Amino acid sequence: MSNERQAPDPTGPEMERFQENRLRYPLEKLIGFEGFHVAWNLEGTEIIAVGNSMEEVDDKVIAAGLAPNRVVFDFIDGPFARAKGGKCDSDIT
Amino acid sequence: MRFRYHMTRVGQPALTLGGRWVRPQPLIHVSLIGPTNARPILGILDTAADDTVFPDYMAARIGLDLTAGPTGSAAGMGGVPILLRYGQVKLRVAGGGEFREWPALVGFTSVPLRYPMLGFGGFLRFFRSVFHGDLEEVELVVNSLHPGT
Repeated sequence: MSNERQAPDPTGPEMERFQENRLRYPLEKLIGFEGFHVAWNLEGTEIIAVGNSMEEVDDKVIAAGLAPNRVVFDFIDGPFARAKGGKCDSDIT
Repeated sequence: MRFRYHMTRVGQPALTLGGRWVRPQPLIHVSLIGPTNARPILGILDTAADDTVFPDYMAARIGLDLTAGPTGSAAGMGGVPILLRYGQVKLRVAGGGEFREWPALVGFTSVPLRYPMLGFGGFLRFFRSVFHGDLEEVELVVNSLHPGT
């Protein structure tokens, strides 16, 4: 597993755009991810990896050949967060 | 810099919030930057956290060796102290057209975290922080202790 920086870190405008898009993302579309750690694309428009821990998501991002400094890690909280027994409803792995 | 609160669904109406079905949380996009890599992540601004704390696996992923670093404990998560290994990183945030980066000594823990805790040491100490409850926004303004740009 390489630790070499693969791509430039997000710029200020990229960080702000992520925040804006992440805030606009419909909560209903996150229901299937409640209780899971995820990685978003840097635009904040799409979840690209999901797992039971941050580390698992990090591993999946790297395994997919994506630069982990060009995604944004997050946790999706919600009422279903404690009721899933580690199984995510989403097709995204 | 101003950051709007993120909304989280709740399973029953939040009585203290007038029966809303969401709770607002002060989550902000922060980049944890180490010698060889970085991890952008949403962290929670936590005025009850003594220090800024990230999961320990992340230290190795950003090229930070914690084996020789100082250790300690800090209160967070309901006041329960957790063991930490400390490491020197850079943190970055951006909002409202403003971009800030500073060196920070932050803690790393093996305790599972939902979100990194952006606490007093390493983060809030360097800002005047105003939590606008009415607007559901938080405002961060660098203060005289801010060591970065």
